[in-house]
Amino acid sequence: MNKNTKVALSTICIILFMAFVYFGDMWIRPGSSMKMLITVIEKGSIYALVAVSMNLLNGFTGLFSLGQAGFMLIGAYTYAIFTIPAASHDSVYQYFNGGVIKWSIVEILEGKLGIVGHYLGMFIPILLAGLVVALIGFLIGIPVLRLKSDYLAIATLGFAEIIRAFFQWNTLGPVTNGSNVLRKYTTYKNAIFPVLVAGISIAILLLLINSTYGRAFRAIRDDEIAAEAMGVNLFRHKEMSFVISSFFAGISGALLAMFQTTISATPFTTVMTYEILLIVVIGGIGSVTGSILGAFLFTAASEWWLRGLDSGRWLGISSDLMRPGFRKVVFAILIMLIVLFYSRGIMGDKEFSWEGFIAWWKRLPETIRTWPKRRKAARAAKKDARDAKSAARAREKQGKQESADKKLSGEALFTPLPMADHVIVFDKEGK
Amino acid sequence: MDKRQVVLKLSDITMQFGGVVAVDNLNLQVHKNEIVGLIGPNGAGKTTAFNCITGVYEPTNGSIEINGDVVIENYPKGKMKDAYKGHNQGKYTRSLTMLPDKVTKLGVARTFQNIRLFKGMTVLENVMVAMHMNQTESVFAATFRTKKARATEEAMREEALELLREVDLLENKDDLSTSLPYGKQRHLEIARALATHPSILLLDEPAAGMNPQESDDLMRFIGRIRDQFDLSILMIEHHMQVVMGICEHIYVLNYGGQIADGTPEEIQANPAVIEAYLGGDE
Repeated sequence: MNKNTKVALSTICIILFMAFVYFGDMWIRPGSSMKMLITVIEKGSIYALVAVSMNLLNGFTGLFSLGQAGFMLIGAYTYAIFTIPAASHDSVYQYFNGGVIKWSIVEILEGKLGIVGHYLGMFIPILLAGLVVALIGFLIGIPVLRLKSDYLAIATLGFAEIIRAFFQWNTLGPVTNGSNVLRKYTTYKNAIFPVLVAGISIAILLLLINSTYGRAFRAIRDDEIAAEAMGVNLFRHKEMSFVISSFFAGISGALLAMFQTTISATPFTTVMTYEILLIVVIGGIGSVTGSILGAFLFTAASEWWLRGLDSGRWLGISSDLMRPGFRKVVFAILIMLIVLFYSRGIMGDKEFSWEGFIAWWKRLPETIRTWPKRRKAARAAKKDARDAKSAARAREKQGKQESADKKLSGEALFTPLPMADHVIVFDKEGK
Repeated sequence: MDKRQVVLKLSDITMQFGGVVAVDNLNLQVHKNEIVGLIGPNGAGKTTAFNCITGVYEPTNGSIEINGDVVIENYPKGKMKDAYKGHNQGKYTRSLTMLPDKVTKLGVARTFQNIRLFKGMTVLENVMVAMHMNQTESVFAATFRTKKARATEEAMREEALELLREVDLLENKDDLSTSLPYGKQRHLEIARALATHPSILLLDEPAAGMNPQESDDLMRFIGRIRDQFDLSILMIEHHMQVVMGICEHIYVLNYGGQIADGTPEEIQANPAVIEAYLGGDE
């Protein structure tokens, strides 16, 4: 398969997917399961972006950072604050005399440039969200990136929680609306919007990972000392990776704000960071396609496939057990199974490739056909192991019995080992 | 006396960890295009000396000159002031430190005793990482593949392939670095160090774990790269055959202290060295 065919195949797939999302969101009536699919794609793409940005840190630079939810929160707020229409300020900031920012970037640009201004007015706050988060990431990174592994994780987690508390602080109310929700800000009209923005962002991240800087990041992940000895400035590159990751987390935060149409600081807790971490782990640490796949699977499972578990009826089974919250129990079990049987995630550290996909597809019937056989073989192997173990145990028991008998009959328990003569030869080399 | 230019000079280098003096008053010189050996029994402080040169450790006392400039200098200060057990206290009053990547930029490349390749990367990528520091593209240019960035990347790839050809690893270029056999991993580490365009190469036990045939090849290889890349080489080695066969000058350490230095012939005849290696009369 040459390069052109692969590019053509990818392009066709992307165009078909985009068309499905665009027209699907326009034509499918709400309430149907196809609509649910569109919603999953919408939210999944947002989660995919933040998961890939987290993977850049955890999987490609080797920095175990858990601050992603905090960064998303700042992104979401930045976007929302600058796009609430002037007329809605009084009702949104009702406890803070209409807030301090009395204008919306969207409205200003729309007034001057019409429909182009409307979209520009949406893109600029998104970009601004990314930049603000990147700046904060930069500042947080200076002290935090001197820490290693678990310590870094705890410090970033702490910062994320501080950010959340900070945004709920009443004194900042005129800007952040305190602990009240922000709403009525401009959002997109079609699901294609977050898919496009996330897609472009992920493409940029992929380009970065495959560039010479991405190689330096991976070098740091594999061996810090060797990377440093090869002239890679550790701090500079870690900081760079942290800032870029923060930037894209901010953008995904802005998209999440648009998706949810209202935003408050409450849901951006550690739990959210763990969800993102889960996506990264399920997809495979160090695999971009894995993170994307993980994001869609996670969103589909938690928003769609397992919904019925909360409402009493799932796949035609009804049970008293299925009360609100039961979904999470099942979900936890599923995750345990994934971690047990796919301990390196779905993709490991590999990326999607057409060759790999076609080979997998061709192998699939064979894999399914031979599954019972392999299962049988595995069971037989297990049985053999068990048998060997019990045989060994029996032997051991017998040996013990014998030695006890010998002891009783007064025989010597130990026979001395034969002593070898130690020979030390000094050979002076190099003569 | 050697008339060649001194490229690396350690003066009174002492490295003390807590109360343990790992390197004591080491004076060492490497001249241009010279191959210098650093030998000594296990725990003599050879690798610690390497770590001082490359900026991994900050020496407690002494100074290091690279290509004629003092780049690292330190004196016992703070707690160490009273705890210091080495010599020449008070001789140095400046404190100059340098991070390992800066030392590498000055042209000092190293290999490691326990091979430290980038595990998740291919052989070619391993070499290309070392060229990263010499490229001048910004992260934006590199990400968005500007024309210049693509040219730089292509040049890097070409050069890396050239280097791999030199060390006989061209057919392995797309293999994972850790899948290589041991001897080839050593060669790859040297190729990676060469990719940083060094003028001084520090080799930490390049022949460790090699059989006589392999170490013979390695000796020839080191001689060849010295001439080809115009290098000065400082190497730690336990294989006396290699050290005596290739080094022009040898320094011997024992318990951190420097017990002898000279040509291989002088070292072989030196009673202190023989005592350190074989044990003296009790």
